[in-house]
Parts: sequence; C-alpha cells; structure tokens
Amino acid sequence: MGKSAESSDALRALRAAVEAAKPEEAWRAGRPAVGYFCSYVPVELLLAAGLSPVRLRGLGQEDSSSGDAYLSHLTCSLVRHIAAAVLDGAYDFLAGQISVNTCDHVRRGNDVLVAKSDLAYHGYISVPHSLRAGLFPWYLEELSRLKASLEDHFQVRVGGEALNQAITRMNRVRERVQKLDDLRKGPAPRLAGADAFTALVAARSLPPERFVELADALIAEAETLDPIAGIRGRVLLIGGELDDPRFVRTIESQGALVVGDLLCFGSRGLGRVVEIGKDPLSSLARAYLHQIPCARMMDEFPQRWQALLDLYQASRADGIIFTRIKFCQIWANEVHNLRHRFETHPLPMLVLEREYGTVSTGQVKTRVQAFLERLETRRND
Amino acid sequence: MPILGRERAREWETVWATLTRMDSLFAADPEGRGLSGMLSNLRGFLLDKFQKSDAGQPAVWYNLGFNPELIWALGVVPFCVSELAALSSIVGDQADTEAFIDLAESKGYSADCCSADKAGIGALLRGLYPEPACLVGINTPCDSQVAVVQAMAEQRNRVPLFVIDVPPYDDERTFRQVAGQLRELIPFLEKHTGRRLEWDRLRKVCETTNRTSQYLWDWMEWRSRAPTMQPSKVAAFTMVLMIGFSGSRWGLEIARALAEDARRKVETGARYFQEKARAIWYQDPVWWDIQIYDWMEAELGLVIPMDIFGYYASEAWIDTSSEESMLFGLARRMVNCHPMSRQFRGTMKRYIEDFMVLHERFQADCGILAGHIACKHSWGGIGLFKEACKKADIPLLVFEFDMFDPRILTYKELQFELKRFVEEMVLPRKGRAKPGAEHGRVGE
Repeated sequence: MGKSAESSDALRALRAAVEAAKPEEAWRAGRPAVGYFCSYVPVELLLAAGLSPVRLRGLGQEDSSSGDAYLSHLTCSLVRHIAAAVLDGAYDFLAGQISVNTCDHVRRGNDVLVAKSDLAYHGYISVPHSLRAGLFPWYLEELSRLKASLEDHFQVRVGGEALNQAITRMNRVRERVQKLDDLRKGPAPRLAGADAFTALVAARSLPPERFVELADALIAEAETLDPIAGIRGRVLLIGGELDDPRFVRTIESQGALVVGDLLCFGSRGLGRVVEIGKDPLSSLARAYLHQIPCARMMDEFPQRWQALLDLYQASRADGIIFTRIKFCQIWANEVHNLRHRFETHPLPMLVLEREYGTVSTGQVKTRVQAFLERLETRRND
Repeated sequence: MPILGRERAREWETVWATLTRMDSLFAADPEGRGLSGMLSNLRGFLLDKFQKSDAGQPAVWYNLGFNPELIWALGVVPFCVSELAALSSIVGDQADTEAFIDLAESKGYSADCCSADKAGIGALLRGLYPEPACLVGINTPCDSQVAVVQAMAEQRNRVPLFVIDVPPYDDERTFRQVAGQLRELIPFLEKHTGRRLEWDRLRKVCETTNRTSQYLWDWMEWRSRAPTMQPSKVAAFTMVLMIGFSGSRWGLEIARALAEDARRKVETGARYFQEKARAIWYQDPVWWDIQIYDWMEAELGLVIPMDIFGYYASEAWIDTSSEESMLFGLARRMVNCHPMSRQFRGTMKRYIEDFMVLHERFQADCGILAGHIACKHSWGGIGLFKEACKKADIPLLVFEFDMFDPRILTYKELQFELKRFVEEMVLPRKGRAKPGAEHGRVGE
C-alpha cells in the first residue's frame, strides 16, 4: 500500500484547527479575537490592529436552536449555527464581530448578535454589489471607517507600516493557498481534495505564521506521497458557503477527486496576493473587492463563468459539483445562469443542496455515484 | 381580445380583456369610482406601452426596487420584470402566473427565490416582453433582486446591465451615494437607448411624482380614520404604483383616484360591513386573490387600514430646483420611501419602528405578518419582531405563504389562520379592553 497523507502530522494539526470547538487555542498570544462573517472583510486590517481575526463558523454545533428562535427555519443554516454558537457561549473568547451586507441572512444574523449577544464590539461594512469603478471609493471609505472604529474601540492606531506588515504576513498565507491549489490541479495529484480543503478552511482560523508552518510541512510531505489511485472523475467544487471537509470527503469516497474549487472558504477569497505600496488600505480595498466575485456581485456572472472555464481547463476537470446551503438566494440562481451558458458550452454539473452542519452521507453518495457514472459514460462515448 | 387592433400573446390579451370588463363594471357603480380610476389608468398605461413598442421605441428592463422616472424622462418604455406576473394575478388569470413560475423553476431558477421574480423570469423566457435596449438592476429590496437581475442579464445573449448599489444605511451619505449612481446611469441609458436626457423633461416627471406623493399622503390620512371606509384590498397599491407608474401621468391619476375615493367614502360614511378589528398587514399582500380582503371584512369585520406595501414615508419630496437636487430626491425616495426597500435592506430597527408607527397612526388592534416565504430578511428578523410586539402588547399573527402562489398556503388555510386569530385572540382581547369598541356605521 502506498503512502498517503493520513500519516501527516501537519494534516492532523490542520484538521484539529478546523474541528476545534474553540479556535482560541490557536491564538495563545493573548491578542483580542474578533470574528468576521465574510470574505470581503480584510483580515489584514484586524492583524494590523493587533487583533486575531477568526472567520465565524458553526464550530461543530449540532444544535442551532438558540439561533433558530430569532432567525426562523427559513434562514441559512450557517448563519443560524453561528448565531447559536455565539449565543450559547461557544465564542465567549471573542472581543467582537464584524458583519457585512453580504446577504439578507448575514444582515439578520448581525441584528441578532447586536441585540442579543454579549459581544463588546460590532463592526459593519457595506460592500457594493458591483465592481464598477465608480463604486470603489465607497468600499475604500467603508474600510477607512471600519479602521477608525477599530482604533477607537480597541485603543490602537493602525498605521501604514503595520498594514503593510499584515499584508506581507497574509501574502505568505495566500502563496501557500496557491501552492495547495496547484497540488490539486496536477495530472497525478498526491493530495486528496478533502485534505487540501481542510488546509484552506484552517487558513481562516489559524494565525498566519502557524498556517504557513503547517502548510509548508503538508506541501513538502505531499511531494513524497503516492499519486491518488482509482479516480473515476476529476471534479470542481463551486457555489456558496462550505466549511466542512467531511462533505468533500464524502464526495471523494465514491471515486471523485476534487481538483479545484471556487468556494468562499476555499481558494476563491485567498487566491491572489495583495500589492504592497504607499497606500496599503487602497491596495487592500482593490484586492478584496476584485477577488473572484461572490454571487452577490450583480454584474459579475460573466467573470465567474470565465474563472470557472479557466479553472476547468487548468485542472483538467471532468465535471462540476455545485453546492449551496438551502435558502441561500444569491447563490441559488447561479444554477439557472450556468445552465443557460451550458446550452452553448455544455459542461456536466451536479447540484447538491445542503444544510449546514450535517452531511447527508447516503444521499450525497448516491447522487455522486450517478454523476460519476455519467462522467464515465461521457468519457467513453 | 386584440390590443390596438393587433393580436398579442394570450397572457397580455387576458389581462387586457379583464381590465376592460372590470373597468366598465366599476365605472357604472358610484361605489366603484376609486377602483375604476385605477383600472382605466392601468389601461392607459398599457396602451401607451403597446403603442410605443409597436412604434419600435426602445424598452428598458428593470427590477422591483427601481423607480422609473429617468426612463420616463427619456421617453422610452419601462418594463419591470414582474409586471406581467403581477397583472396576471391581480387582473388576469392566476394560472398564467403559476405557469410562469413553473417554467422558471424548470430552467433551474431556484424555488427559494421570490415568486414575483420567478414569474418575471418565466415571462421573459416565454418572450412576453419586448427586446430590451438595456437593463437597470438594483439590489433592493432583497437578495432575490440580486439573483433576478443576474438572470435577466443572461437573457438574449447578455443584456447590457447597469447596477445601482444601495447601501444598507439610511443617512445623507447613502442618498448621495445613490444619487451619484443615478448620475452615472444617465449616459448608460443614453448610450443604449439612443435618447438624450432633457433635464426639463426630468423636472416635469419629478413634478408629476411630487403631485403623486401629495395624493398618496392624503390617501393615507383618509385611510387612517376609524372606521376605514375604503376597501382593504387597495391598501397595498402604493408599491405597485411606485414600481410601475412612478413619474407618469397614469400613476398620478391612480393616486388621485385612490385619495379622492377614500375621502368621498369617509365623507359619505356608508359601508357594507361592521368594522370590528383593525390590523396592520406587514409583509406581502395576497396578490393571487385580493378578494380575500373582502371576505375578511364581511366575515370577520377585520380591516386593513394600511399595509407595509401601502405605507408612503415622508421623505418622498423631490426638490426640482437643480439637476443635483432632482437626483438626490429621486435617490432618497428610492432608498427611504419605496415600500420594502425602506424596511428590508437595513437593520431590523427600521422595520420594527415603522410597524409601531403604523400601528399607532392607523389605530390598529393587531398585526399580521404575512410571511412570504422568499422574504428571508423578514423571516430572519422574526424573533426580534415578535419580541417587540410582545413588549408593546400587540397581538401578532405570523404565517408562511407565497404572495403569488396559492400552492404554498391555500385560500382555505389562509382563511382558517385569519379567522382563528381574529375570533380567538383579537376580538376577545379587544372586548376585555374596551367593550363595544367596534367602529360601526352600517346603514348610516
């Protein structure tokens, strides 16, 4: 039997970071931790303010009832789980949180946290729904206001030098994310998609230096692994929020290999390095606003489509698995728009709707099996 | 029934035939003057659209949160994506709306999105709107708009799109931000429609909007009297008016008809049922059968003096003294007056405050949160809203339904919910608090 990543200490540490019930273990330096909701919040700003940014997640909460009581069952289950985690005390180490007008669900999650949690600080930014040049100054101003609010609340000053240092720290993370991405794309990948995805999710809750250390170790170990055998189909994973490597593992258990993603917790938000310059806040604003766009960016479907085509080709994919959390509307119609494009540029796609925090293993396996059979038939025709 | 002597798509002809029949029916009834005024101007509005489209004038598509003053000012034809679906439900054949919804879903359009948008996309997919010169997409009032605009843009091998981004705040800075985008929108519209904006023409359109606003405020004042004499079923029409008719002479005439009808009915003082309870209808109206409001009045004595879709806030006035002031006024109106956009895009604070203001001003006994299943913003705030109502000691009915699709909650199920709430909660409680508090003028 060949050598696999299962024996990797680095992978085990990354998994532990993803599965940790309280990610503050990763932030032992004693800096105040601030949670944030969305990939349009520049974590560099928090790092430069001497804070520990933690991407808000459900933290393995099986029960979201405290969140459900305020948000209803028609709200995204990720937001309900986050609200429950905060209200139930799982995030009691946080000094505050930052929300974005990402979507209706996150806005209401923020309302609940503001009204009902004990968090001492609540930041907010309004991110434009378009990348049109005329809207850039608004986003920059919003970041500037967030910076002032952080400075005021935490009694710190965020200077240009500190921002550039934070950008440098996070660029090292971004470079590792790119390397992990490249490892997945190759003709004979040695790292399973679920393992690479574990690392990408961990990048959202580990200190940059710790992530870099573990990612470097994993990347080095991956070179020594045997290529993954028995691949029935190479697939891309795209869609809305997904932070659960178990879901990817379930997909891969049927013979699929996830060779790339365009996911918020995956490589979409961390895939490009940020320019270091005289005006670091502008650099950050430009880089964050112009990341591969989320579906909330109303005029950017063509750009997402092009990113998908590019990745599809670069990763030699055979098909696409689209996933979103039930009731998410901004990602809901990506399927309609993709199908529209498939009329002239056909690509095989499987659509999997999920609830956060549970993997309907049997259903997912059956759907993936059928999809892989379709890919094999297509290849053989 | 042909329109302007030409055969049209069956769905448009059905709307037209029903409108024509209803208009002649109500015009002959002195009690139906308000409705007749609405219907005849709706006919005028549609005729104008068909005339202009037949003459080859450019069409501009847009979605629910946008107000069409700039499009009227350019002299081109505005088409809101949900227009035909709404007309089919209210004055056409509800089965057509459901067929639009089914078609959109069969093409991958998500069932989780708003039926107004699903039906709109279904109508687009059926080719029932003219080819657009371009599309104006706005992110208000909800995520469903963010989704539908992208699907609209994907039609016809990509429609040129201009996005208006409305931030989630309620301040001057936000109004200026949106006004700046309206300024940017003008050259986009000019380029794609081949028309040039004349500021004097926009001024006239804005003056029409201001006159319309005055009638709507008067209308609200008449409807706030207890008992409310004008039927509950027209309480939600401000929303329709702002989306489709804002700045047009038909919109002005509809607002005038509503206000004068409300005034006349108060002054005459006769109505066909006894008012026993008053509710603020919060969230979406039952568009798939607005006769249910008649049933509520006749059977339960329940009146809806005001609806969130009908509430017209005070920040609507447009200063027409300069280009900048007009754009600022249009922006502020779209952000802070457009029903839904005003309450749904920001925090729950505004949503709850508006309910409390309406509850007091319209002397309501209770609230009804008609929870359109696609309105994730209101469902996401339901816990805070319930808490606020409890604290204010306001009885509240909450149910799930779909405003354009009776397959989610049927007429009978809805009747059951309303009857139980009024008879078991509101009336006994009202009786305990204020014996004989009904507002009756039957036969006066």
